[in-house]
Amino acid sequence: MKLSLGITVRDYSVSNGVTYDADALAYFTANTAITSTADKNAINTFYLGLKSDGIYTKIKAMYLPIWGSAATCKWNLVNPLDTDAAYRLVFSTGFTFSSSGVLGNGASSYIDTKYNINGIGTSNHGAVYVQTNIDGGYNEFGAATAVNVLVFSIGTRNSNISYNGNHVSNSSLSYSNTDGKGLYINKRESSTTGYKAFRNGTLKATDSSSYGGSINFNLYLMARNVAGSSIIAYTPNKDSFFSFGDGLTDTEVGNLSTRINTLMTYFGLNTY
Amino acid sequence: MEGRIVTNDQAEQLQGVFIDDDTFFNFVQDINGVYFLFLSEQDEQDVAQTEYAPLLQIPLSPYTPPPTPPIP
Repeated sequence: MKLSLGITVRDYSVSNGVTYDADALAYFTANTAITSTADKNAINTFYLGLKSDGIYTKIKAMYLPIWGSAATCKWNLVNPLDTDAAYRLVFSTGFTFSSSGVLGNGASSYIDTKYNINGIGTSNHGAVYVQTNIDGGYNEFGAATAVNVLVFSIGTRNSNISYNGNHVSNSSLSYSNTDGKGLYINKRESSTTGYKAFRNGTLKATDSSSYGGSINFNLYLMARNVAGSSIIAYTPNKDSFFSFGDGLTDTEVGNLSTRINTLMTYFGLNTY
Repeated sequence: MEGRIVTNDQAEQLQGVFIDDDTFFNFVQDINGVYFLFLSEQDEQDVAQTEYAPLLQIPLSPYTPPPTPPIP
């Protein structure tokens, strides 16, 4: 006779008598601006949700820049070490930090993730939560081999159209959008499956174009890195969340959207 | 929009230089190729604590960005 106990092994750590997910605790340890138990509980729930959804291991980097300074917003929640190799952010001058996000100046401010997106290749996703509604030729994240050649990017609203680049030469995925606020996700699952753009958890557009080649440059946030030699599309928007990593299924995009929006709702930052 | 005009030498010497562990200078050129520095109020407080504090004495001047290509 066999006895099955059905035990699921999880990685928990204890801080001040409270049990947190080990990765959440590492983030709380690095980011000393997080002092509220309620905030920690909400973020801990976010980690646990991503793990139960099977999404967490697909995320290479994610950021929650709502802590009021560069020093507190720089941490990669997946690997909160103060190193380039851990994709800890570094910020140019020009940003304004607050509890509702990081605000670009639209002229010179950008963030270097130290994340060479050649590393995510043919299966990828990028996500950004935007707090402001501004129309213009801006990118909330971007990297490109040349200005409009192979591009990985999201632009929320340019003449009422959202543009999403995902490694297709001289082409991007677009859809009508009159409100720049919200959660934007751009994802591709393989070199041949095309790519899709989502807003607020809803599929907005699909393109069947195959992967056109790698972009061997760091991903910048709130602007577009053009071949490591110039920067364009500096955004004047305010952003409160970013993530990047492997490709996600449509269901996983829906789950990730729900998890992020739940976290934003806790902080009073949800736009939908 | 207004920023601080710096010389080419200043821009070239300080481009990418960190003012603290997390923040670095980024100078951009206007439509005439003149270098500008834009600092947020938080940046100004940080810069004031550094050897670069004299940059804060530069008066603000209007900035006209260079033309940019269409960005889809």
